[in-house]
Amino acid sequence: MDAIIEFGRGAFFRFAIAVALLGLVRQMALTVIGVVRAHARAGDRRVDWWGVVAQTFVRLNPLRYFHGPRWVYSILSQIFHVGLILVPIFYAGHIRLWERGLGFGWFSLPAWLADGLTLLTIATAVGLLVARAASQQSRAVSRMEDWAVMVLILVEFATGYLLGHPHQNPFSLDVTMLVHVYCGDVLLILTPFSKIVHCIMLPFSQFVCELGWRLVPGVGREVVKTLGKEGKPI
Amino acid sequence: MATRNDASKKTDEEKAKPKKPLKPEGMLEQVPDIPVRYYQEPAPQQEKARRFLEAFAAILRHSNYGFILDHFSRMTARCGRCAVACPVYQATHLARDLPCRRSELLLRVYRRHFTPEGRARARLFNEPPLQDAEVDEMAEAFYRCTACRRCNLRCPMGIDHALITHLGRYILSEIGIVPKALHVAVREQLQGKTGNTSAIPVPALLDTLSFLEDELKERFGKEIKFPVDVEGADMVFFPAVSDYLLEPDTLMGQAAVFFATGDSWTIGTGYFDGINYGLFYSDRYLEEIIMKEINEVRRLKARRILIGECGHAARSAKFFVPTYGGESAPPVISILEYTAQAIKDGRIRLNRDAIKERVTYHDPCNIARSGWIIDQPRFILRSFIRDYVDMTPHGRENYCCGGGGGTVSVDEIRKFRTGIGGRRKAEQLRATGAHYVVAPCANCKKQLREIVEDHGLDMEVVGLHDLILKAIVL
Repeated sequence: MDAIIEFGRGAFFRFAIAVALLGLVRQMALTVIGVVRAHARAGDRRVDWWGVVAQTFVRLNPLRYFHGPRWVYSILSQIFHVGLILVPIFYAGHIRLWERGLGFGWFSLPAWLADGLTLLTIATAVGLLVARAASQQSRAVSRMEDWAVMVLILVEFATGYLLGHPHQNPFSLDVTMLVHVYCGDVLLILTPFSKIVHCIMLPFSQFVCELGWRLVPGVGREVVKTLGKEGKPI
Repeated sequence: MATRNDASKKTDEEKAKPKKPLKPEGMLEQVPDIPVRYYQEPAPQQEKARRFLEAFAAILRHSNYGFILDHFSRMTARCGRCAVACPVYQATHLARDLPCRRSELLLRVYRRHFTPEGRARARLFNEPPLQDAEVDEMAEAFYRCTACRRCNLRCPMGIDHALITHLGRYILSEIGIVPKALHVAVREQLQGKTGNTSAIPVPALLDTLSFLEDELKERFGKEIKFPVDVEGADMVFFPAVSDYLLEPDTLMGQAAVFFATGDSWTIGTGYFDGINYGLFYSDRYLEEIIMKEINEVRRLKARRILIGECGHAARSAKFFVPTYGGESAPPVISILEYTAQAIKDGRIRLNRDAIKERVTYHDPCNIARSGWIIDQPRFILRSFIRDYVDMTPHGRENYCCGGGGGTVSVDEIRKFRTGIGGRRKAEQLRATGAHYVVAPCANCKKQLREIVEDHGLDMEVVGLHDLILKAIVL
């Protein structure tokens, strides 16, 4: 068991983080290249880039979603993201692991705050799962990954909390650690291949939408040629 | 359902009672679904899926859509926020009318057939390729959508479902699946003798213009002209060509405005149709029709394109003339912008006592969703209408009339358009208590008139320049 856990914290973790980071960098690079290429090919290249940047910030403003349809889901989601981002990076226990591997660390959250955010993340993850299951609209469009990724995150944070509070842990330390380590590794590997990739792609959405309707001149003619329909009447 | 007669029996007191404000968003009472079945021209029925994929591949190869789909297919949160924004879903409550579910029909084809991960996954899990039945499902789904883009306002990921609807329809059109009503009109516009969607020959156009000039002379006692083929004019006018058949008051109102301002404009007999169904279903026709407008402006050595009261005609010109017109693409102006500016500059006088009835305004999606034309028509109306009310919501958040995306031209789906897509709009109209609903869009006007008829509303649907015609002082 110890060897399996060490593998998960060592080589497999390094593999997982490499997949996550390289995958995210690749996705970001492809998106930037896509934006540049789409812009270069567009017939109308006049884009109000600052307007798009402004619109990006408007869309990223969480308060925008605190009213209107599914506002409860939106609030849960915003709170969920706070802990989701802060705890893995600024939890003291994780920073010690990084120090061991990288030789340097950074400031950590106070224990009470890390605990509070972890519990909030767990509670909101459950809330989001319930909200997804309870809504006909969400259920109708949900795919396997929508459930699986949330369950993985829930398990990751729950096991993380239990590891930090062994007196509250009903399971064995080894099993909890095993689940926590491998859940984390799987989430990292899934990052560039699942909806988690929105963490890097969301800021580009408004650029993509802006360019979406910037059509390329001559596409119609080229498509007709490719399909062998040249000269045929409408 | 209340009949028109029942509605008109309301007392004046009841009519004057302020209406309870409608909740701006939320589900309507569920109605039985109405399938969308449109007439199509005969097209090969075999191997639909294979031909669909071929057309999809060809379009991806030559356009920017691949990059867009790649982004959208990874980003969708599947949260369902788009759902309640959609007027169709609000009425049917059906999963298939969820904007993100509709988009998923195309996105899953893209992932499965055009991405390495999708192809690998398909091999791993033995996923079947696209089937003919799925093509049929898309053929209906993409015409249940009016492409109003209201869902885009709510999507936290900013996904433009109307763009996916447009692409889906484009692919389908390349394999012969498109409503006959749209396709026949485009054929006449691009390859027919008359060169316009209403098949109006030039002599008939000139007759109509002459008749309208006589009407204007009778009304105002002045020689108000519709200039034709004036070389060097500032603006070449492109209304929805159906206005020449169906909307004499709109046209006369516009001519009266130009008489008041004295600015130079003209109608070109080489091409005079602002309608562009390519915006609804085909990039190929979108470009060809835009080029006809540009070429006519160049033929007449004019400076600008002036679009009449038509939402999609205005949007297709405004946003796609620069795309296809190159460096010297003529600027585009909407008649609504023109008239609003003329009023601001004090060049038009309007009688504030001409219209006593309550007036409301319907924002055509194609000009309002982007924020381009929202304030201008309201400025115009408030300058001479004493009793003006807005619908809730309005402006960028407006609801589609239910006939958007070209669906209004498909008569055989009227029951769907007015009973489902237009239900929310019917409730909005009812809530205003207005007599006139101004809709500066040929398509919206047709749809709203059908809504008024089918829902028994005691209202009159008019163009904005129809009211200007009643109020202008020359």
